[in-house]
Amino acid sequence: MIRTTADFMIAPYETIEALVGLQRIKEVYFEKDQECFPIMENGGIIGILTRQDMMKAHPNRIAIDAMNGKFAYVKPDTPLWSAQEILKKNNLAALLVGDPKAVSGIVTPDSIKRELAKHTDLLTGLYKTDYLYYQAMQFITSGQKVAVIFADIDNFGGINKKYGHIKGDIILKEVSALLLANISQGTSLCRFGGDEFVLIMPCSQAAAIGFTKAFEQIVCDYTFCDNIPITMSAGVVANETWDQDFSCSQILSYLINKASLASTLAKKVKAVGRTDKIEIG
Amino acid sequence: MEYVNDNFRKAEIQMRLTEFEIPPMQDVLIIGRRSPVGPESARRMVDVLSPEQYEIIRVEHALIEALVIRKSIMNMIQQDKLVALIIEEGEKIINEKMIIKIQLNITLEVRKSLEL
Repeated sequence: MIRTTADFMIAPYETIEALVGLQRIKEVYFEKDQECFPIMENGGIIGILTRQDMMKAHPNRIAIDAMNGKFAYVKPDTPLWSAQEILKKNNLAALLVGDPKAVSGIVTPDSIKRELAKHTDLLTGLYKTDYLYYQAMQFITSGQKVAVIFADIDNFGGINKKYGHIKGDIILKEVSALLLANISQGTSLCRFGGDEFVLIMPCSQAAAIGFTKAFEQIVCDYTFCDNIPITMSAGVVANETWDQDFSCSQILSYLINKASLASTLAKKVKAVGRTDKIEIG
Repeated sequence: MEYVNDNFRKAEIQMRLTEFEIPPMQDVLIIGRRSPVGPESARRMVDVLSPEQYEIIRVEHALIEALVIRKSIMNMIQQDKLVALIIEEGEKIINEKMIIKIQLNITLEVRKSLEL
C-alpha cells in the first residue's frame, strides 16, 4: 500500500567518472535526461553532480570540481514520505538506493515531487490515503495511540445538484482549508474520496472526539460559499493496543472502515431529527 | 595584356624559448568559485608534477573556493594566519572566474642576545 523508493527510483541510471569534463557531461545530460549524476572514483560514488552544478560551474571544469551535491544511502523499502523527509532535512541532492557496494537506483528531489503529485488531490491539495498509511505506520511502530476520524459532508450530492458542481468544489476546498487550519501538529489529514476526509491523530478516542466537537463549532461559525448551509457527520474510532499478528496496513484499514460505518450511523441519527452541525458516530 | 602575378605569401616565425617551470605555478594559487580550473584539478596537476608539495585548503568565501599552498611555507607560518593574509589581499583583486598565482618571499629575521 505504501510506495517505497524501490517503486519509483530512477533505474538504470547513468554515472560519471570524476575526471570527465562538463562539456561531455552536458551532452550526456541532454541525451539521457537525467537530472543529476552520481560521480564515481575508484569504483565508488563520491558525490552528486546536479543540474544546478552544471549550470553554475565553468564549462572547462571536471565533474569532481563542479559537483556540490550530498547524498545518503537508503534501503529499497524506505517509504516515499520518509525519503522526502530525509532529502529535505539533510538538504541532499539525491538518495542512493542500496549500499556503497550495490546501488540499484537513485531518488532525486524531482522524482519525489513527481511521485508526491500522484498522491496529492488536485482540488484540495490534500494528500491521498497512501500518506495516512505511512503516518499510521509511524504511530503504531513507535507505540503511539492512533485515533481515526472519518468525516463527510452531509447530503453533498444534493448540494451539487442544487447549487452546481463548481460550488460543490468550492465547498470541498473550504472544508479542506478549515480542517488544515485547525488540526494540531502530528495530525495527518487526507481527502479519502468525494466529500470524505480522514484524519489520523496520535491520541486517545476521547481527545479525537474533543477535536471533532471543536471542529463542529468551527463549521457552525463559518460562512460557506453563497451562504450554503453545510453540516458534516463524523465517525471516531481509536485503538490503543495492537495485536502483533496484524500489519499496520490491516489495522488502519480496519479503523478507517469502522470510522466510516460510525459516520454513516451518525448520518442516520441526524436524519431522524438531530440537528447538530457535526454528528459524531 | 600579359598577366603578372606579383602576389606572394610569406610567414615569419619568431621563437622564444624559456625553461618550463615545474610546477607551472608558484607558491600559492587562489582559485575563484567559477574559475575554469577547480581545486581538485589543480591538486591533481601539482600532485603529478610535484608530488606531496602542495596542499588544498577550501575556504568559505563568496568569491574564493580554495587555496593551493606550497606545504613548506606552512612550516614557516601558521596555516590560519597565512590563509587569512592571502584572502585579505587576494579578495581585493580577484573575481570568481579568476585564478591568481602568488609568489611569497618569506624572510625570517631573528635576533637574540646572549648574556656573557
